[in-house]
Amino acid sequence: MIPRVGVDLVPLSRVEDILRSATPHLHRLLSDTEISLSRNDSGFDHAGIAGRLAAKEAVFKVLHTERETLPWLGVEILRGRGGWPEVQLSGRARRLAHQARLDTIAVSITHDGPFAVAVVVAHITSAPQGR
Amino acid sequence: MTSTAPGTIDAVRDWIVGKHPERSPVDQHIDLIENRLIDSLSFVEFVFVIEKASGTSIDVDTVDIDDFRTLSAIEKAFFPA
Repeated sequence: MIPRVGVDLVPLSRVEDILRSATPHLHRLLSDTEISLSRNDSGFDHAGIAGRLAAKEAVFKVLHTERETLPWLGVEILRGRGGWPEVQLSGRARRLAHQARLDTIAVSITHDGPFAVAVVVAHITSAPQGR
Repeated sequence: MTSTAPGTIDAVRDWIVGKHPERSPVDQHIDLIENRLIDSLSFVEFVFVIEKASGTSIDVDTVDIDDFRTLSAIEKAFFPA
């Protein structure tokens, strides 16, 4: 198996821009489940949202696509067992992952101060995968 | 695509300038992506702005990225004369 790595950084200020935008579009970036996971007792968890967006961008980077836009809603960053983030692909994102012959996709997210960073590691299988 | 309300490319140009006032004026033929006026995160709002200005609904899963590279291409693709 050949490893592939993706990394991305999202400033929390980008999340603040999204939330106060005149054209509300958070629902085009995060699924309903992700939006639910991105709330805390005081409202939206800005660091959590930034981390989730960074993770999606990092997943997109391991897909190594050309002439494709990021399928934001097809790359979900959910909460796995133990609270660790896990990647769930659907629709176009899932097809792109198959085309890239990606096996398991692992993600790690961190945030401190004004930034969130995510790293994704995936493996390319030696043979094309069936759909 | 479904039409809801007509508009002009000026609203799209104004949005870009609002995000990057230091880059004004934005040439009709400048590559917005290569010149980092639009990135993957802002692309989502960018599409939303084009939809509102043009009165069209855009399916991002089927778009041709070249239709978004320049204001000229956007006007041709989404603001038919």
